[in-house]
Amino acid sequence: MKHVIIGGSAAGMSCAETLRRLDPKCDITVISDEARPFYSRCLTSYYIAGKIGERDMLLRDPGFYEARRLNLVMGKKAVLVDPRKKAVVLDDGSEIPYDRLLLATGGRPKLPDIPGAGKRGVFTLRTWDDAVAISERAKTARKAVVVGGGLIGMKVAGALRDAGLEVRVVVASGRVLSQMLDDEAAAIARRLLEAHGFAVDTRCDVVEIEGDDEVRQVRLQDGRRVDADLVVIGKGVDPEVGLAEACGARVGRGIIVDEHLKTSVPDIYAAGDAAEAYDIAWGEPRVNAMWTAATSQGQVAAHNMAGIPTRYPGSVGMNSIDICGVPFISMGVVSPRRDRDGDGLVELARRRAGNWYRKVVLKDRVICGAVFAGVVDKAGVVLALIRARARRDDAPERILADDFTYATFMDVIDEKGRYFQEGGKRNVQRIMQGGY
Amino acid sequence: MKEVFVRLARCVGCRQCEISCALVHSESRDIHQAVWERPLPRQRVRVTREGSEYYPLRCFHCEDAPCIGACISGAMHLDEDVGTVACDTARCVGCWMCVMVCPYGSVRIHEGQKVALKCDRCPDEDEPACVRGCPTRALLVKERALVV
Repeated sequence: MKHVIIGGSAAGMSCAETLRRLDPKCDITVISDEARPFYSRCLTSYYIAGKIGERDMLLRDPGFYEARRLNLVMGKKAVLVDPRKKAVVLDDGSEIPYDRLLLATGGRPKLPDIPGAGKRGVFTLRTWDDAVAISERAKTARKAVVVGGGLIGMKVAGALRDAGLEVRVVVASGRVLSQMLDDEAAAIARRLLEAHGFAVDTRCDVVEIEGDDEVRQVRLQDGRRVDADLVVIGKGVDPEVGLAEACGARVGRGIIVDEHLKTSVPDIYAAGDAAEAYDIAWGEPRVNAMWTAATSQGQVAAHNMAGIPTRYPGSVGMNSIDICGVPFISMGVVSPRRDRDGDGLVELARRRAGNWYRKVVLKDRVICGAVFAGVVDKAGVVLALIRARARRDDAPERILADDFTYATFMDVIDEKGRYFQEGGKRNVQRIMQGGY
Repeated sequence: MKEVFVRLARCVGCRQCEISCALVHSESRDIHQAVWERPLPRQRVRVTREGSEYYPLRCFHCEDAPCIGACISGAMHLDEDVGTVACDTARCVGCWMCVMVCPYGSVRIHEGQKVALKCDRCPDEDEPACVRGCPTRALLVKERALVV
């Protein structure tokens, strides 16, 4: 059996490793357009901050790939998938035949149409190479403007500040981290940022990047001009669906997959940031571009590719970020839109002194989302509740009062939790059966 | 593979396991000195009361651990020799993805060091400190296969 994987990051590599574990004999090829071995994309901002070095970026030892007999095709781009011939065509013209194919093509930073975005000193951040270029520039730059207040924007803003630059964040929406946080938590984040010396402009945009060859200034929507010698554009990521579309696979916002992570084209699967797979909290398919979802989708796809039918239980969109030393975690439905998401939605929130904030969102009395700021311990228990889709009427109050542990909810989590079917169930029994 | 089991009926909520755990993870390993250490030594096991029962909650060292899949730095890993989920704190960057996904709430933030804090099942001890410290023998070590 010849397995070919396009994409060498979280989804692609976890698929490759799982395939090898399941089938010691099959042929596995991983094609990556990046020339670097498997590294952690999520660490790029830590790299820019100078907190970690080159070695820390790599997730596997050099001998790892050989030991597992993975054929790596690096620094080459797959330009075409031919589902009739069952082959992948690379940019150098060569062809790689496949029996089963995984599209783990990831995402691509959105590039808004800002005049001057092509000048030197203007970057997006997706790859390690991007991070190297930004940190190189940051050695001499003094003033940075980050366009976009999403997760990437905030992480790169923090990193540049750690690297000693003055940082201004320009956010189009009314709050920072508008996808991840609700108004209240975003206000806490903003206060922290401003107290730590960041300039934050909301409901504002960069309309032009000025300078000769190199960026010198940016012009804001309200007419102000601010000095900048480094600009990072972080306006979100689009799923990379080009190859899927061209070979006739169904595509929505991402590559549409069924519960076995199969695309609409026979023998082609998709996983990771490019895939639109089932979301448990929303109850519908969504693109959840997260490391953890990519890893588990890669593993599930591998089982199905190896001929072991395995259902993908679905993911919950979630994220964790540290802002000026204060942790924030959010999961599932965070800011429901009443007009679209209908009745039966309840938001309950509590604020305590300092940066402590917590919210739970319920749909028909079942928890489908939560936000944590300040104290995030046990957030995973709430995630397990969301995944279990379990109704426990005392849950909101106990979560908001911080009066809960895993033991509080173990009956519902265990009974209904898809989460626990894969390996956790035995752990629960370890407590219960131990009572002899 | 050895495993720590809990006999719930025997746990009286004395929290001696918490003290033993914090102590074995202190610099001095002497309770009179350990209380003066900064950051304070932290326990990895927590006794919680639910209704009339006490639960000493600790890391279950899952076979298919969500925290390993979520870890962005490679710090959280499976120690294949002893079958534990271990955190290499030198590689931990403090992103708290592990805290976000642990269904048992067993990974916490070490506030003093800003790294993930979890049970390491005392790799240098003959017996985990929580087990050794439990006066009612509610916690005990057994071969996994013998019980499940």
